[in-house]
Amino acid sequence: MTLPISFWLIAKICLLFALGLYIVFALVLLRQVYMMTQVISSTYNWLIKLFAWAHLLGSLLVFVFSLIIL
Amino acid sequence: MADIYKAGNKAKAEKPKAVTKKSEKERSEKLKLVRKEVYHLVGKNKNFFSAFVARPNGLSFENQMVQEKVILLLRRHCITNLRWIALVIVMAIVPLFLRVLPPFGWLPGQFRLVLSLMWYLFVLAFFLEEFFSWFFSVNIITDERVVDIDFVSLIYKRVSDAEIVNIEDVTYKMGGVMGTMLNYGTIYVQTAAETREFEFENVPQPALVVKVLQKLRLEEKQEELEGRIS
Repeated sequence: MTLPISFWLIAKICLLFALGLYIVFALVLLRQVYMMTQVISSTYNWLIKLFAWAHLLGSLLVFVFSLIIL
Repeated sequence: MADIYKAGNKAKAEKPKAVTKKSEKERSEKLKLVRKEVYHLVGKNKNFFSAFVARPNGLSFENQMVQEKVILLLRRHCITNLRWIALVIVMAIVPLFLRVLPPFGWLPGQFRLVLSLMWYLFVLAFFLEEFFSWFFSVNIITDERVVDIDFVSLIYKRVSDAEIVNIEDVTYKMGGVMGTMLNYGTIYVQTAAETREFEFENVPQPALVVKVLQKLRLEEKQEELEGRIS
């Protein structure tokens, strides 16, 4: 099945836009985690923050990876 | 004659002082006993990732007073997470089956890979939101008050508290097969404060929590009484 290149270009832009939105969501999540750890502070705060940072880093890596391979 | 009367008055005046001192000591002993009973009731579960954390170390919360001690930290029973955990597992498996379906199979390899990655990111987001919602939605019972922290969604949180002296009524509801089998239920705390009712949703050992609250109310009343005397 052969489709015009422009179709795949549009698909690529749409996917990258969705991944960009996901990065915003990851940032909101990180901010919320920081806020919540201020409300309830415990010795495990670093672990929860690590989860949120890893999630943000993961979403950034997927964005960059998609930008390269698409 | 006058001297005799004076001596008699002095003796009479000293006696109530001794009685007051004794009763004050008795009261503080009683307070210590109540606190000991509370500590004995809750036991020692310091695992912070549990749904029932008793006397946790290194835990503090917003607006906590200097000498305020956290007695219990409650979350929804772990079994209530089973639904979303099952959903996460199903969602994680879905791409394995999608590969054989025609629309997905027709796509070029790199698009399939990116779509799969996006799907897993979505699953991860769902998992994190549900986990944080469970982890941060807590009910804290201290020796002074009850605090209800709700983490409803990513952009909405609600924090309310009421002093234990303001508690008017505590009731709990246990129901369903799981609730009865695993001993969890919902506690309703009626207060005279601005926030009328607190709901501790699906917390483990509700009967024990109600008992602890009763003991703490007793302790607060005793303290209030002591404050009036001294």
